[in-house]
Amino acid sequence: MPQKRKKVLFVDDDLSFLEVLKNLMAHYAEGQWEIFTAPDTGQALGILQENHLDLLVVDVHMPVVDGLQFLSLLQRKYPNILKVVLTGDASEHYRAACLSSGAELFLEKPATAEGWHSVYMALNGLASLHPEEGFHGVLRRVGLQDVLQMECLARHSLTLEVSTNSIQGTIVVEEGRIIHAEAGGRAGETAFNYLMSLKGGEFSLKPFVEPAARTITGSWEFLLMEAARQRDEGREDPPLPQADTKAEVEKAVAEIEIGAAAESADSLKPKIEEVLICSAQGDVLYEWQCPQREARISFLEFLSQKARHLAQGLPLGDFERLEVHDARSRLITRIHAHRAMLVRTSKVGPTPEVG
Amino acid sequence: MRETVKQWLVQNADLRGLLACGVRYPDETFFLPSSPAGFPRENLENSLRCIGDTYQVLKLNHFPNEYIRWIYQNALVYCVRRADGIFLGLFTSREANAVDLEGLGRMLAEFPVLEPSSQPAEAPASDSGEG
Repeated sequence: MPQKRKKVLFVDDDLSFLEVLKNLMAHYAEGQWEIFTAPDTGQALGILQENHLDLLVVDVHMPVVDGLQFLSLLQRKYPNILKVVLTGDASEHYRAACLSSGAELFLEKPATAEGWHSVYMALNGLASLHPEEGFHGVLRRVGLQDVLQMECLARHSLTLEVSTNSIQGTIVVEEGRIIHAEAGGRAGETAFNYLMSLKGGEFSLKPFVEPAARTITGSWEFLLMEAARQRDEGREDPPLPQADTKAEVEKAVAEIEIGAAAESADSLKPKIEEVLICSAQGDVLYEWQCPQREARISFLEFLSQKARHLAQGLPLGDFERLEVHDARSRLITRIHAHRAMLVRTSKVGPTPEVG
Repeated sequence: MRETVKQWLVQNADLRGLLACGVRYPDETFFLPSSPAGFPRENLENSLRCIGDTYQVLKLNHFPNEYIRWIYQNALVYCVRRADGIFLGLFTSREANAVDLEGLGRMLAEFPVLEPSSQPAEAPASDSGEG
């Protein structure tokens, strides 16, 4: 059976570089790749929507939405697409930030033909490790804000229907501009901000329908920023943990204590530094002393993806949890289909735990 | 240091319950003493690459990043990183009784403090297991 052609998209704002890159990769791939190119994230999103891509290669320094931000967006909407950063800025910090945002590989733009062939080999190797569809353990975090941002960037026209147990609302987008919102008796920006502040519920994308009135005129970037600001200002204290959440935290703490006890009879009882439990959508279900919630959720997303890729093609089975420690602290994370948990403690002995 | 690590890993690779193992060097090359049934070399290299990414992201988040244990349904993956950036990945059975836990603990303790041997012996390139 002939091998399926791999669909690869390159995103870079340098058009001449993109052309050279396309020709070079097509030469190396010898017909085995179908190559797409996009000079900006908007066009890239359009290609993503219309094609089932295997691999996306992006430069990290682009105008409007930079590659790092784009990676985060893609990671939320398309967690199964393998993403690679190809850049001239190969600093270690940037590399770690890109990996954390969902990149599988971080490659520096080479200066020689041999270097480009190595890039091709790395990309081709990665594409052949394409993850299975439908893996249920991936922590996904596609929120209303993310979806709106993606649709506006791609300059789409659509109607977004939002519903909770108690209210239904609509946001209308025309060619990437938010033109109307309504929810209950509210309309315009008030309704938009209200809908964006909802903590639960569902939303679905429908075809564009001209609204009875156009109630919003501001730019989508400003609207989303303002909605986020209002949401943060109105944020209530996190709810007390439910019984099952409590049990999960207690179980993790018990594991940490058992681990510490196994290491040394003299170990101090570990001190819990922070706890975070979030849903598969990235909503915080419970947190304690966790000031960097967004960074922690991003870490759990990264881990969810990485644990799956680590086991690719190996008889390891489903991922259950990760434990990390050094001489001073310990971290336990669990990732299930519906929720993820992170517990960090301090004052743990230095000897590695086995068993 | 590469030779010392290789020799040490080859000597220890027959640990009871050890399914597969490998190291990754800071220059992103690997040494895998073998690729047992069910553990193809390319997949093991991919796993070590994922472990390397995880070490970087742990560091970025100011999390501990010395010893890592990945717990899967059927297996455990132990990782330890040296100060020079070389890290070790040990894939073991999930069944505690099937694994030489004492030997495993010794490997995890020894790896970070391995010293370069005084007279390294080069292994033949054809079967060196390096990639």
